[in-house]
Amino acid sequence: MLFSSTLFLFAFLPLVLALHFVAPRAARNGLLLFASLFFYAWGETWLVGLMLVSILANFGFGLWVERDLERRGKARGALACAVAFNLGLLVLFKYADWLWLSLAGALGVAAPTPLGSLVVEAAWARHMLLNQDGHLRLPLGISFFTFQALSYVVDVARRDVRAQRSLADFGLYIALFPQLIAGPIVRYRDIALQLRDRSVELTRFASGLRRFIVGLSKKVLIANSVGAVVDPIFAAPVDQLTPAVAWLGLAAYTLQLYFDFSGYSDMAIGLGRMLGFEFVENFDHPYVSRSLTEFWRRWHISLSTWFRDYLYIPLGGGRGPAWRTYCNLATVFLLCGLWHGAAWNFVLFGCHHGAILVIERMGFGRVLERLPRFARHLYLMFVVMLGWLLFRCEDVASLGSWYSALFGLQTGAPQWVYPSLYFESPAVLAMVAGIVGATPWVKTLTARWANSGVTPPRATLLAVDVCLLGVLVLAALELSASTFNPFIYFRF
Amino acid sequence: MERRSEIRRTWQDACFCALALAFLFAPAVAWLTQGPDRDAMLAENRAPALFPEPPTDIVSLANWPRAFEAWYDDHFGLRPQLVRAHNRVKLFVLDASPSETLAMGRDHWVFLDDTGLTSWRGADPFTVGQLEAWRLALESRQRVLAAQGATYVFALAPSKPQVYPEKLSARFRRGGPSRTDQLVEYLAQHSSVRILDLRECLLEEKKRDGPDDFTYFPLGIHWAARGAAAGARAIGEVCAKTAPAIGAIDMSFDSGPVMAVEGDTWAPRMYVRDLLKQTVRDVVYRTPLALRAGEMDEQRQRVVERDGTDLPRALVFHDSFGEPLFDSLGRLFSRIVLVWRTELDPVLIAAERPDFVIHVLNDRMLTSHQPSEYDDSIGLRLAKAFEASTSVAWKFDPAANSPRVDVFSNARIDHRVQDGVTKLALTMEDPAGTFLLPPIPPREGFHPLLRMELESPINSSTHLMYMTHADPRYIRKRQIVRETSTGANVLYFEILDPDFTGRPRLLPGREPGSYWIGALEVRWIEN
Repeated sequence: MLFSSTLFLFAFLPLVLALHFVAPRAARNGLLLFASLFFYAWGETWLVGLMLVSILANFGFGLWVERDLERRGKARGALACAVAFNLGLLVLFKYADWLWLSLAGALGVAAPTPLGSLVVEAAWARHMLLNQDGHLRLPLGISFFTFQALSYVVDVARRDVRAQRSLADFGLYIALFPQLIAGPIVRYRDIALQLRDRSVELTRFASGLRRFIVGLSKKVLIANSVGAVVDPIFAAPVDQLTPAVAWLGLAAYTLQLYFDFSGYSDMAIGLGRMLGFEFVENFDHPYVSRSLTEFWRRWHISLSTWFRDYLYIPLGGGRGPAWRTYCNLATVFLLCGLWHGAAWNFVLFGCHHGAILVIERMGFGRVLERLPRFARHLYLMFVVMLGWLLFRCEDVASLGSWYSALFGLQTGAPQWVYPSLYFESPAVLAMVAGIVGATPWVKTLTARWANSGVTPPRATLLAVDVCLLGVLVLAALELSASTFNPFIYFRF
Repeated sequence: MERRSEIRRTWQDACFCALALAFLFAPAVAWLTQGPDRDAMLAENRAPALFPEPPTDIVSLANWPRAFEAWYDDHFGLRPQLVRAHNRVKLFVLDASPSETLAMGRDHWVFLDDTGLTSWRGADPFTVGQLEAWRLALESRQRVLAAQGATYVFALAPSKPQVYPEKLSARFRRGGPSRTDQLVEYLAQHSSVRILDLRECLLEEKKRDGPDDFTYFPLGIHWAARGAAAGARAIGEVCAKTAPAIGAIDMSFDSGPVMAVEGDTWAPRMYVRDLLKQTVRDVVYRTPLALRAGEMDEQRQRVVERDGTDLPRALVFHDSFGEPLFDSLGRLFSRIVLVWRTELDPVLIAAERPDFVIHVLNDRMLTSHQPSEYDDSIGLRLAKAFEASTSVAWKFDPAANSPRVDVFSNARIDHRVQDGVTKLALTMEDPAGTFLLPPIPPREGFHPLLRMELESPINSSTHLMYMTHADPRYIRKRQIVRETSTGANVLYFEILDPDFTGRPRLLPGREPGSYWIGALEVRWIEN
């Protein structure tokens, strides 16, 4: 079930909100946990069992680590088991099949049988664990909830937090539906108190609802509309793309990815706030960055800080000799790339970002700082967009053709593909809104008001609310229309 | 002052929340109080998703949420109102298409954003292999029918963009020859067979257009009465070369009075029937003739006869573009049987023994239709290729359902034993029932040929759709259609697209019912 679906918007969300605020305070955590597990099971059916196993195991690991710390002052064994368990789950369900197929390909095995089909024999287990192609099913959100669980156990081991004593509350931390499938990655320490003690007064609820609407409109009105430009361009044979069309597709994808992802984060933050939880911000207008280093402080902040705190710093971070720092950076971003998906293009994505970050660290960053702002911004967008190409092209073999298309190295591109073909007004409006929305003008304006101690004019606040209600209606209309599917002849 | 400001802010928050939540709750409240709009789907020309049966095993339990979501998407409260509002905004505020099925043109002219438009743009050219397939198919039909004493006429009715390109949105332009252009040129160079390209006669008839009088429906995709009459006249001119008596029939006509009908229009499907209207006119022939026109029967056949003439007889196989031709073509023959079927039917041809076999198809068929050679012996080209190949991708075991065939939508799978042989019964619960066949792994230098033994309860057609890496969707452009007869059929589906991937999706027939699979096998054919 997606947030941007009619079932969620018109059925699940109203029902959960109604029950949440009608239920006694003591029952709310249990209600939310049930709703979250139902939400997950709705999409993943049997794999909710995996989530429950993860909850039980990590709850136990937390207690075990804390007990060892209290008794022996260290908990390396318990921590090692927790890390192995969580990474093992991730590797098994996300990477094992890909590694297997890659190895088979490297050994020259044609059409190798997927690992899942080899390992899982019982018919009932195949139904539960394998997809239609015989590969192990990838549990939705596994990258998010295993990282959350890992951060919890490590924070307990670092004595940053106390282990959670309530299984239900811990389960709620892992499974809470607003952030379960697409983040942000929530640190236990950020919501530990909120699990037990939170309130939702009108101001906070309204703020959460506004944030949810902003996220919904980003996803539905901008990302989905821009997708109407992205999908046909990326579906077209690459040798049919002119440079103008190729860059248009890549630019549109750059917007789509940001508004899709940040829209989801906004919805998660808004939903959390409506239920009394404050999640960390996950995006801070990354496309206004002027270096890749700055970009990663603004893009998917919960992920980049997770890697910083649980991998980069333990590896040594920026301490030690320069070459060590570069290796740490490269390692972190290689793994960051892989975190996004089990495919070689994600490895390349990670290497691309790692390499450029190292180059910036080596001195190019200082060169950048001397350049005009516009030039730095252009550099950043160029680098990021080429990275997004790696992100999008799962077929690594087509990358060469894509670069040829982007840089005009193709000969004889046909005439039936041209930029204006994709300029239907909703897509154009969405792209314009996306470019404007990617800039921090709202943040700048509100900061200016706050700094000057001036209350925003009442008319302005009213206008904002009217606009938000308007985009809520438009987004709902768009979602409703996604079910609109007319045919010439009465058929499927 | 601050206190007042705070109170105002609280009121504003309360009003905002109340309005937003009222909007989110409204569909649920409407559904509970009024129930779902059961007729809404009829406007979209499709069956709504059924409420899923209670799950009976782990597979159906796993599929239940998806089936419920499909049902919910078709039945949530206020759906027609919300879709209508969306479409009005798209059409009248943004001047854009409300559906990815459609491409809106100037003055709210409707075009299908499908293979017809793609072909007009020249964006999906034939491969040489595909042109060859058409050549072989057309030549075999002509040859075999000539041996039976019938002249074969293959008429291509153009899609609307071919005749009214100026009504398309400015963002569409031609970048190469259409598939019709390619086929005409290829046949001119490699064959003696000629197709009847109806673009010329329609462009000529278009010169007589009035302010509200067109050869195609502005809001539909088919030709209007004048367009069909012009097409019938052109078909008559070709037939007259073989039967001069046809040439003596006066086929001149004028626009008739305005009819109180909607005609072919997408406005109801877009929920804007009251906002988008068009004028529909009939044609009036200058020389009236007495015709006996029957109604369409269960076999989707219609007979038109003229008494007291020794004009030849015709059998017409057609798609939806053939329907408006009934009365016009009926003027040209003593007896004409029009069959809504895109493939020739040798049994019917043998029974009717026509002088002319006329095939009228819209040029979309050049993309969505894989032609098969016409041969009343078992030696079909594909059958020969299949038998000659020893490289098996997979062979289906109906008893074990292995490799797996699964339900995709609105259907179920059972096993039946007939004459000691286990067959798989694919039961479509409504016209939307489809199935997923096992995946066909790609093989360099080869393409797959699928052989299927299918028992059909009715005369129908079987559709096989597939995805590609570049576009992982099941769409009309990538479907292979085979006509089926009641009873046993042996069908061959050849997937020539080198980029195909995943599991083919099968629609066994056009009507609900049980279709039995006796055998299913994929072999590799060298490219």
